Amino acid sequence: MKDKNESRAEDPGDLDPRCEEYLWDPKAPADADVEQLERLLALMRLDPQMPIADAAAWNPRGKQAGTHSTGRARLLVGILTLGGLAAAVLLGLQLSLGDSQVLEEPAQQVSLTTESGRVLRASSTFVAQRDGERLLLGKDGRLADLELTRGSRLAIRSLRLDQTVLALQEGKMDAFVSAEAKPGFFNVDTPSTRCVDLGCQYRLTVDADGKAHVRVQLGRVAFRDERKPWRDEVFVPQGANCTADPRLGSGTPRYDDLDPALSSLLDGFDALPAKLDVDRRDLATAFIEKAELKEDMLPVWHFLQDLDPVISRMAAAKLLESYGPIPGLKARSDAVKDKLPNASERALWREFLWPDPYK
Amino acid sequence: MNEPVDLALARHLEAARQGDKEAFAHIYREFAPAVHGIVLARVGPHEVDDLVQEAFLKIYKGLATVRDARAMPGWICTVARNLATDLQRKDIRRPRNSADATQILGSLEEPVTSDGELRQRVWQRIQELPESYREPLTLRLVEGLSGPEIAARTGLKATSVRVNLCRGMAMLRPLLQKDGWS
Repeated sequence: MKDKNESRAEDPGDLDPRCEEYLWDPKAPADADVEQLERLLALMRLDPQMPIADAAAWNPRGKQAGTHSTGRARLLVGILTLGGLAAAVLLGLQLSLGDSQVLEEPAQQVSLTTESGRVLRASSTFVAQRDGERLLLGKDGRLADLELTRGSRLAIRSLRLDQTVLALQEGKMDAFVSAEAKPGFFNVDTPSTRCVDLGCQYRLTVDADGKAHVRVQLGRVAFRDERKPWRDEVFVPQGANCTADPRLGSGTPRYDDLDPALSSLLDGFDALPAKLDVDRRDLATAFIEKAELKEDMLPVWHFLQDLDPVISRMAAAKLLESYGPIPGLKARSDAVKDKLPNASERALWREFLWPDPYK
Repeated sequence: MNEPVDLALARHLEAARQGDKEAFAHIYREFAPAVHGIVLARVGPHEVDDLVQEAFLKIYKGLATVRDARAMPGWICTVARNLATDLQRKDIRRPRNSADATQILGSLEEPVTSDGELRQRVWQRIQELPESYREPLTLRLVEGLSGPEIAARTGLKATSVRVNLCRGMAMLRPLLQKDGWS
């Protein structure tokens, strides 16, 4: 049967040659009119942030009063209104009983539940009773799925829609953070550092001494380290790992298969207190000189932001020597060669070496 | 049907039927621009977001009825067209003519600029085209789909899409020229 939309399509012989190719194939030479129309109308395009359809948690966007609602939307509005009334009654009851606890706005919270459906609240601590105990963040774990080993202790600090903060005090947690969660939404504090999800799957371990170790299986993670304020970013991409010490702060991220000789140089470097120190500088120099593979450049990239300007400049020179000028970054002229690499320069190198898979 | 089976789509259809959310998310990502464009071409920008979600709810629930992945693009677009048509029938206040469209386009979240006014005029003119031209032009000019992508997402024949695009554009040009389009 012919589709109604095909009914007008007949002989293509009378096609307008001015627009035919570009209308059909945007890679063809552009037609100025069509191109202008595209630019003008692109604002009306589908919002890429529109939530992915999920019937289990269906929630059509709310409409403002007075606008049209479809039948299902009206039903949902009704359910939500009843829910709102019930919540208001409960809130009133609670207030009338003199409960002084500050109630968080439910609409701004995200749920954290056990596999059996037990709801965990902010400011509580969960201790896993068995290996493989799962916690689900968001309905059915749509934001994150966490798996803990027996005895792992997880404090729940904040369950807000804009930012969730948990604290792994001890134990091991496998976290799978879904693509629906924005980078930076899911944070896990440890006694040594804060682990910030940038869209990934990772394993975080905290030992009895408070040492934290992260291994990233997918995507990327950042460590936020208040002990090393000169470091803007500790960046751990897929296939890499990083250790943080409660006393020394975050170590230097490295790939799992880093050459043992290079790894041992980094261990020595990380074990020294962060200050201007000849031994520390020698270890960094030895590493930079021996670094050859792209994987070896992860620690080199981190050296760009070292507090020792000699290490920082050596790292910048090494990257330029290995890859030459990259888009957006010219070779360092004599005038600026003594200038320390700044944040935008580091960001350019990071995007060049480890492009964001979500961009 | 003699068209080749899109194996990836067939796999996602099968997995989505089994309740695999990621597979359904893939179907959503693949077809959401087409559904958005189809609905937009019929009901305008004010209603489109709700109706797209409504369409995907119907699609999710109706996946079990799709026996052949080759029929899926056409079926998805039919769901979207039917929902938009239902809304047109139910709501006589829905903007159908250019004056109403102006009112609705005025609600787009953007400062009033010459581009905004131009957009309003262009959208009004597109609304004046027959539906069979309006839909592919909306998919091409608004959603940014290429001709082959429109054919794949809507299940229409490539030649039909190509002819409708070009005839729609040929009809649109003189309308735009009336408005002083250079």
